[in-house]
Amino acid sequence: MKSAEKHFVVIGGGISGITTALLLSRHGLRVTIAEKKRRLGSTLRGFSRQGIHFDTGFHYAGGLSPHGPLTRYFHLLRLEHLPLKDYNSDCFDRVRFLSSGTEIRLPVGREALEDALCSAFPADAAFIRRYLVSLQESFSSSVFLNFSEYARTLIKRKEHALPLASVLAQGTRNIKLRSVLALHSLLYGVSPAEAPFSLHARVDGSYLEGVKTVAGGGRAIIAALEKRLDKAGVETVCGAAVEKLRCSPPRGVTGVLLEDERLLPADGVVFTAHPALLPSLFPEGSVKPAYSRRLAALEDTVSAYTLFCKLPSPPAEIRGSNLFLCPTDDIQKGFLPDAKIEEGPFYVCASQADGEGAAGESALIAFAPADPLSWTDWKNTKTGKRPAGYGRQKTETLGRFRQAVTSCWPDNARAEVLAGGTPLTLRDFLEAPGCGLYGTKHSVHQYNPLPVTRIPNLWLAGQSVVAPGILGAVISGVLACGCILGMEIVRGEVARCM
Amino acid sequence: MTDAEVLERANAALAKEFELEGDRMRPEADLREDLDLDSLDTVDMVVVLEQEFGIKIGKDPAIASIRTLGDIHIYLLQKKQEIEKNAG
Repeated sequence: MKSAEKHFVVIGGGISGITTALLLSRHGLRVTIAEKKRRLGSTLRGFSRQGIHFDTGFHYAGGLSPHGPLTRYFHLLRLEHLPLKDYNSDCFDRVRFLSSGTEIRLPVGREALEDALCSAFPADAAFIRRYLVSLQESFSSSVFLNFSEYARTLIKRKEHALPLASVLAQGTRNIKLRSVLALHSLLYGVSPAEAPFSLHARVDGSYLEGVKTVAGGGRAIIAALEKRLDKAGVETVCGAAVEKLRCSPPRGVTGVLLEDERLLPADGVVFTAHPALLPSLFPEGSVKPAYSRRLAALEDTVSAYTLFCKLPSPPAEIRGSNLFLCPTDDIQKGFLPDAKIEEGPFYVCASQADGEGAAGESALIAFAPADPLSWTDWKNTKTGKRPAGYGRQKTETLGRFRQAVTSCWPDNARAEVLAGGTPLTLRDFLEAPGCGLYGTKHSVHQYNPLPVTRIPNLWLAGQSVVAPGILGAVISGVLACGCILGMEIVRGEVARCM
Repeated sequence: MTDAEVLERANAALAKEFELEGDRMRPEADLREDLDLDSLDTVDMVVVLEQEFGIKIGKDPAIASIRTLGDIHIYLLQKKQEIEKNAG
């Protein structure tokens, strides 16, 4: 195969698409990224209001210790020079329960975390120790997170496929402890009742070490990646959505037709946008209807209400740490479809561009789980063009949200709201047709799409395939490239890069 | 819905969604050998049946042992019995 002559089109210019493009081009393929928005990486890039920047895609990450998995993938993407900022090692997350007024501080490191949890919940110490061993074991059994031979020797245990809530319910009756251990389900948007323990472990396990952020936040990451793309000679076509895939059986995909009628010929295509958007791109008769139907029917992760605020000075609670507020002890309730916004839970964090705005001012972002069903009346409207009725419901709901955050955390009263979002805002900003915060749900009930599709030379990547977050998105790109170039070749490349 | 109606609707939905001719939809038809459906199609099939009957199948381990169209029929009738029992 004369690979130099092969041309790949990557649909979607987020972190999954950029990873895919960089890896393919390193193997001598000519690559074009087709991105619907005006610029690449809009989620990572964030937005500004009144001179204050809000990071929408990247707040903090685990696995950034010198030998951590995300550090390895940063090396793979040649991002190792990015300056990192540590979160507080003795408290990277603080959890507040309104009912008791208690605050639990989560430190970095497994032993420190074990000590903190055992001292907060002494009656459950034995379970806590067992649980953390299991969490680390499940995390380490992923061959894309753990590159030692040890990973391959670990047996995937049956109980790791159980829902997180079942694992917790079997171990403890303490609802607050269950909530603390399930807290990071907010970071992948699936209720503990549905999230497989193995998924939780892949996300939560990364926070056992190397909890950091990148100085300059998501913007700094995307700026560095744009330079890499440029250097690699990857072509980018922004501002034109893909209209259709061109297919010719039995060869499969032969090109990508853009809405402005440009045709990008392709020997292969990697689709990294939301999988529910894929069926509309299939030429008629190219797949069986059942496949399109399944992709369209995939359930999304939870949606969210968001508040983007300005504070006169950075509050201690979100300086080097995040704040999780629990108005009800059981965070699982917040994921139920009929949950009231007042039930929370709320995730509050500082925007990473902290200090880059006016002197001393600080930016904070608050998230609450949301059900898009309350907004169906306006589902056919777009951001900036919604009627007054929508505006009234938005103002009322976000007002209640703000008040509920203040009830748990009085400092919030000082915050001035500069922007807010509903599930529909998220849908339009993230190009997520079901309003999901993190793509399609990885749940015990749903089969997520695989990198391999029913059309030859068409592959899938993105958070819906592997897992949400930068780590999940990057690994999804690696996996798609593994399917194209050979899994052991690509995994070997990742293994060697540190 | 009678048992016969369940089978008829299942056959019709599967024939339409997998583009299969009606005369191939015999209970003894092997999904892989006779209907050319592979393991990826099985995942799609779950969604077709869920939507047709408004039921939840998800990752039911019983699906793994389905080999023929007749096995699907038996599965659906068992599901129907369960639902009727719970409703009664």
